[in-house]
Amino acid sequence: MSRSAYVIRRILLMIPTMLAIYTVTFLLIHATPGSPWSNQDKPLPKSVVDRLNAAYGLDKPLWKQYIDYLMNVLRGDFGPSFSSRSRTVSDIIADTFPVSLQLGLVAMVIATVVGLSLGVIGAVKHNTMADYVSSFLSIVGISTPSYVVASLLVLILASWLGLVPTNGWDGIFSTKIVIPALALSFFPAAILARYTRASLLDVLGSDYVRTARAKGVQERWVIIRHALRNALLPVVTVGGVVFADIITGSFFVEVISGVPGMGRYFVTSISSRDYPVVLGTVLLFGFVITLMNLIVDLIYPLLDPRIAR
Amino acid sequence: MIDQNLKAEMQFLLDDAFEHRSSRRTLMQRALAIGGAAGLAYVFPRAVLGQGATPAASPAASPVAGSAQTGLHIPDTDGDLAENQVLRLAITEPRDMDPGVSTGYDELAIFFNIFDGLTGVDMLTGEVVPRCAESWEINADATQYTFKIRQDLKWSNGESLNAHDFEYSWKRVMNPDTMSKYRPAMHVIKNGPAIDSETDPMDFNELGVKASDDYTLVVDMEGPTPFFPLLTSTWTYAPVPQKVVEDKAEAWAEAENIVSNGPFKMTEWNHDQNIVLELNEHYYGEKPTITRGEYTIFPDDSTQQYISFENDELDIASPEGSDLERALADAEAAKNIHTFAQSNCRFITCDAKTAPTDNADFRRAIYAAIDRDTIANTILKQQFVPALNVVPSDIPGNNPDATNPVGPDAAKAALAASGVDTSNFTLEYSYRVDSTTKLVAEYIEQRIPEVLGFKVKLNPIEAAAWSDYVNSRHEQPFNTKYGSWGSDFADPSNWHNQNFVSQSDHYYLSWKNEEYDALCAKAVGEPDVEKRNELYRQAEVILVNDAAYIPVYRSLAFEAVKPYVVNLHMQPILAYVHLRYPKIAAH
Repeated sequence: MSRSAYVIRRILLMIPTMLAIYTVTFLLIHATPGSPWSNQDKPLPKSVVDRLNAAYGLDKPLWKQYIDYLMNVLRGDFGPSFSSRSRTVSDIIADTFPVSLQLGLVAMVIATVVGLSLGVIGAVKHNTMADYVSSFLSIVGISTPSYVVASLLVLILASWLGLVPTNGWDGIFSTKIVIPALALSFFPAAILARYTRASLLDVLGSDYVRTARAKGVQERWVIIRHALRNALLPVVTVGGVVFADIITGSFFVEVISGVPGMGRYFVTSISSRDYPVVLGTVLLFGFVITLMNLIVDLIYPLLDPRIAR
Repeated sequence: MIDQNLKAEMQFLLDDAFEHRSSRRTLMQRALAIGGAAGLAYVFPRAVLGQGATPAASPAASPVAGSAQTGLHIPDTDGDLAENQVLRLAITEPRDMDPGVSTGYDELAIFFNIFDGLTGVDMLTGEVVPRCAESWEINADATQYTFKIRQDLKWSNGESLNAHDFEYSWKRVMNPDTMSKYRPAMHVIKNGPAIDSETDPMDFNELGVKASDDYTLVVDMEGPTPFFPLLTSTWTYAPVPQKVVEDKAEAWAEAENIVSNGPFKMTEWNHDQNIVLELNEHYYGEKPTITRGEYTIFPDDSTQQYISFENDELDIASPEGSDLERALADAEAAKNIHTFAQSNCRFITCDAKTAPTDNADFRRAIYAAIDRDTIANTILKQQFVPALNVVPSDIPGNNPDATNPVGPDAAKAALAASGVDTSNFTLEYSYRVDSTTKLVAEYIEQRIPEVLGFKVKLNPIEAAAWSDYVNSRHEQPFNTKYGSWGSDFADPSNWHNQNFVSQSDHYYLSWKNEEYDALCAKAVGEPDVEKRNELYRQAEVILVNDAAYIPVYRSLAFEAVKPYVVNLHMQPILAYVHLRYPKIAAH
């Protein structure tokens, strides 16, 4: 199969994937008890709830709502937000996704630099003190939830040292990004370190590395040009998914650091039964994930030419 | 285990809160004793009755004046004020930034500053004061109001505003296309209920409000409504700019479009980040000292707010939970924490149509079995106060003596009197899950078997499913469930007539007591304030004695305020910061 045909086929395959994501999400959110008009201590009277349902088409049969929303999405209309009246879902995504994207990119750069370095050190200095330190750090990173990291960073950097504000967002060149970016990069850095170390150790024992060393290549170049390139295959696989996860936002980090990103809408829209926002954010998340998988697949041949064949 | 130091601090604060309550009660008695003039003059201050714009003329005669001692009041300073009059506050992301639609989330904190209704509530005294209406007249049986609108009113874009804008805005609430969530607020106006009829709805333009000329607004009521000027101070009755609303649809309330008429205008609203209010140069009234309100948007009430306050990023914050405990435990930090009783009640509601909770003695047994001191002081760590009667103390006509006997003995006696066989019975208790209700529910689950000898099964319901659950109780049986109410305005009708009378049955208990219904029906239109309050006090005795609503506890408000914020005034009802009061002292 030619390369362009492969890419086209992969892109076409995204259509049934997205449709499946839509269907499952739609069914799940409507199968969950509750309604969008029920989030306060004082319940709204039934007459008001009935009117709201009618006004937003929630009184129609489920299959009709399913088709209607799908048709609207195809026209680029993701619907109104039930819990933020003055905005549509498209407004919310346009406001929040760029923020999560920027924060995610910064966090991913930190994670990649820190994670790869720790992983390489761990593998090259196998079973030395450096390896143990690197393994320890990555285990701490994997097992510490982001909200703990974020809270600790707020306590240390903002409350005790007063270096940065406790919360807020002012773009990627403001000091306000320090806490959320560090908190968000902690877990992916640890994951990348673990994968890099394991896969590099695997590769370092293989024949072609021995060959490279035998023909007198400097150890630094053996690692960087020969071993690391192959070792990165599994790392890229994991990295793609982690990256998609990071750039679509993290609920805890955003809530604790006051970042107006998309992550919080995943959670709050579900608890407030804001159906259009749930569907809009899940569809976007699904799209980013499938797109990242495609990009990862397209990167493989660059790392390992055998895959292209 | 509560630290002793913290406990002492808490007790100090609670004593403070109770002191407010008792002194307020004394004031109420004095107020009632003073009232001398005939008819409606008792019910509201003169200004409310359209007899001149001097609301202070007979403050003691107003039932609203009774709340003068409650709430938060930080006195003004004699010293210098700071150069920079910017106040930094906390808020959560507004949901319905449209006064005609909102049910009362944190957007109210904005509405009270950027919109100005016909009337307002004075945060110092709790009284109704004239705002966009300079005066008003009321007919003999309180069924028609004629408001005189000020002639110098302008929108924040400089265009003029008159009585027609109010007519448009009120009718807009009832317009189905508006999709308002607070339509019942208009039900006191003539034809309001008919417009909302499920079988044969009337056109919304039939709502009984009419601008007879540019500066006169005539309102016909459904029935006698002596408290209507209190209602017109609420957000649903605020004017909205027709042109902008029609041009921009739902997005009219975004910062780049919004036009309003209050002392401030909203100049920035970066969603999930911040809101900025600045002085509205077209406002007719006195210019506030604060020139700019900067609201940081927090994801929820409890997260991070207090830490930002400690870090000098906020001037006012509302600490909760562990942050609050920490603040109160530190003598220095506790000086900045102010507390006051809020106007609400959390209760257990009982199904009066299904055995065994259809039995009043059985319900009284549950009332007696609950140890409210344990709930408020131990389980809820003194951040709440016990409630033995339903209507809170800042509402005129509340009856602190409307209580039933409590304690294990009284509970067992009531259970015996009920004749209910509980040998194989399990009581179900459904509640809307939050951190507080869960703790209380678990206490009930343990306490009832101890005292009454039957089991309790808890049925926790997620917040988003709660309305559906409550609304379906109309037909579906249940045993007991959680209920709560917070005052919308300082009138007992907002409790009794709105919720508990059988015609309303807001919580779907199917509870009906004819004597109670008759008392409330008589009280709501009663022009004599003393008689009116007495009728409501009698009604509350029946309400509590029948125990379909079992009061349990009320919440306290805790506000952290920097020492340089002076002249800050908040009322127990709708305790939001009105930026027209506070000042920043030099510091």
